[in-house]
Amino acid sequence: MKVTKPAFTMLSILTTASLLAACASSPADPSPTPASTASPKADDMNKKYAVKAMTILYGNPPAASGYGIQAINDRYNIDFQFNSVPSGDYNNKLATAFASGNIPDITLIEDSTQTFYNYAEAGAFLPLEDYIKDYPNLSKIPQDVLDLMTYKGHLYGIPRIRAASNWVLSIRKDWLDKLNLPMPTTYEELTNVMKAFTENDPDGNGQKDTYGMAMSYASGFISSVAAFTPTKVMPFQSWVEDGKGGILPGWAAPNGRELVKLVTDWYREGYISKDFVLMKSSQSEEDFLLGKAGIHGDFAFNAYSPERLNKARAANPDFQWDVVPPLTALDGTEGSYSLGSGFYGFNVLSAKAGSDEGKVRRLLQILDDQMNASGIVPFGDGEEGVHFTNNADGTKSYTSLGNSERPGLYLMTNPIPEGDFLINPSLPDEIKQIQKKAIDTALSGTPYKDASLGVISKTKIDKGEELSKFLLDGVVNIIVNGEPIDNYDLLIEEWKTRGADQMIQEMNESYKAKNAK
Amino acid sequence: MFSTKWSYRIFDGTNILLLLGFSVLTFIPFLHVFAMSFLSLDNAKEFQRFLLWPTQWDFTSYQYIYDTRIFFSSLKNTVWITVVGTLINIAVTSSMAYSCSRRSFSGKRWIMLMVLFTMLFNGGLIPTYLVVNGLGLIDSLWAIVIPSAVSAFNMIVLKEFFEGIHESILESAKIDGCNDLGIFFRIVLPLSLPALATFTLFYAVANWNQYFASIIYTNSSDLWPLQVLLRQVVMVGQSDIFGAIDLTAPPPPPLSIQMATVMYTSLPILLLYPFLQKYFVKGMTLGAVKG
Repeated sequence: MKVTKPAFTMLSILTTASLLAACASSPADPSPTPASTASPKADDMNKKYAVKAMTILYGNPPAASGYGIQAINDRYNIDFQFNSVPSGDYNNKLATAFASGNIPDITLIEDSTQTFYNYAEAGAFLPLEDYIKDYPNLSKIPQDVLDLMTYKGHLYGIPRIRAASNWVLSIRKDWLDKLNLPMPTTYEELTNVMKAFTENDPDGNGQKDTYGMAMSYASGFISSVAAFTPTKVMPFQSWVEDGKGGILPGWAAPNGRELVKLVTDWYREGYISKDFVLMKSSQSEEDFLLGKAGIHGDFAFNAYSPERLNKARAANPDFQWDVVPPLTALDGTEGSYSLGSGFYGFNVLSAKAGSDEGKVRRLLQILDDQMNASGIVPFGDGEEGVHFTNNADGTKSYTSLGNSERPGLYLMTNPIPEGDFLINPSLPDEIKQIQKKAIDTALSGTPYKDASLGVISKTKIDKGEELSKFLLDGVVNIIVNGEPIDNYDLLIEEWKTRGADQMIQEMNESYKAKNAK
Repeated sequence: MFSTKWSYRIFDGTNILLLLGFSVLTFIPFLHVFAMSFLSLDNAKEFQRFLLWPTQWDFTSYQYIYDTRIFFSSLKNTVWITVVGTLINIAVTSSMAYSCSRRSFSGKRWIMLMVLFTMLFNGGLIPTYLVVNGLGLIDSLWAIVIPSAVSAFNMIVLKEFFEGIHESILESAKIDGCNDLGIFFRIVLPLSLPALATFTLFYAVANWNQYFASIIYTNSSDLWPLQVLLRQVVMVGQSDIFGAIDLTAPPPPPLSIQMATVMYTSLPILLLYPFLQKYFVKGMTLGAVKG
């Protein structure tokens, strides 16, 4: 085949030109500049702004236009476009939005990871520290939570506050009563209760079809977490203080060894399911609700829902759940449950929006308004009769129209959980009681937060997940194979040589530096 | 077909047995999914057994998915993507493959090299997004159909197939006065029905399963295809911790929702196979070329 000279030159010109076309000018501005001038506090509500927002969607998407959007447009005098992205692919969507230079005006960021810091460094977000004090509800946000989304002295995010109370241990009260057992207070008593649940037929049906505690591993972490947090062993990549001024992660915590030994015994005796390694957390929850297991530790207070109770009662009308106070830790010290980080996700404002002072004020006004419980909750429900109906027992039901277009589906943040907004007043009394008990129990004693919040380490970012998986797999192996507990020490040694040593060192340095000031 | 020699008979017999065995093995999980999709809350105990046939015909899970507000619009979107997308795919792929299969095409080598290059290297998510953005396709269903119009692998295989069509058949058409376009539509395509049917199937299944592109390139939930909706439904069914939906009736068990989802996803495209079966005919050109 002969390629003629002109054709060849044409082709090379074309290909080079197309290569160069890819080098478009970089979309993002390099330097973050907060609107520096002393700005008027009043926001001219007569000006209509176009506001684009993006957040994660966990359920069915709301309508793209309709009553809710209209109501929001009227309330804030904006032209609102609401993008809800399915939760699994949110990070990809965020990456593409950032790359194209079009981050929506208000965007939700799930967590302060390295990606967040990179974007902040590149100047994608508007610094907010000068504005917070002008808004009543935004100022109520605790400073230590705000510190978690501060980078190089600038505050970039407004967190969505969540109740700090976290997972508690649940137990079948009716089984305890049937077998005349008291509520367990130590791990030894817990083991006895689990033994009784497994061997003494607590559901009275004459068959040995029940077992002690519902555990699972297939969802990526060893659960029931609330069975382990009282002795300071936390799930995921959370860290606890080691009592010597430093911090350690997950199952490598000081009490980890004892706990692994205990769980190995549980597995051997059959107090936990032999299949727990294959079960997902939804399956272990089903085991508890449907009457196969008597103890479960993955519920936070708002997991005690009417739906779960109805599901359990449909299978067993005698089902009674109760909350177990935190067990005494394995080293004898007082046990307490772990706390959440206090927020879930935070909203950032795009740097582009920052060019218009009035718009920034409007956006913050919107966020502040949505944190005011007495104002936003009735607004979110929509119109009575159309979007919701009030039932005789005081609860509220949403109509199908309500589930697709009431204003509450388009909110970017929520009020601080306290009072009426903490426990939904429209819940049945029985549910309200157990939720309150769960909250009080979770906060009793000296509950502790993840010690690694706000502590940065390069090795943790690079290898944290892989190291954590390695450790968990090793622990589960010991449990399932009934290996002697000395293998745990070998596991920890190996884990350290794989990079955990480096990670622990960096984390501890960072931790000490953080607490020094 | 069945030989009389006993060794051949044994071979045939073992062959049939093994093939039957494998088909049954593949079919049983599907049957199980079908059975589980009909379970409801009342039959909680049945979840523990490995069912092969539904013990009850309870359509609650199907109804639950059907009742979501955007079920019809996402079904419409998926059908649109599959039909229009596959048409575009086949049209573009076959015409490109045909032109690359002609010996007289001088730029053939360079074009094939470029195609091969794209098979090995990919720009990645962000550059692709920038391209689609630059073309103004964002927030429209065309963004799902146009960028993926040609699959390099399919095109190369189709090109090989076209090269296998003997030149003399085409020359005789040319002698009879047919132009190139006529040759393509009247001779080459009808002769390649098996290959075209195969690739139609590949493309149709890929388009039907389209999930990731639609999340990235579209912003509105009205443009969601069925797969995205189904995933959301499964997630909602699995956890109500975030209180996404306040329902008066408890949702069906998560497992049967998942099974119903699988049925919704796979059945329609499975039904496509019988219609394309008749095109998988061999030997249409046998005897057309002598010598």
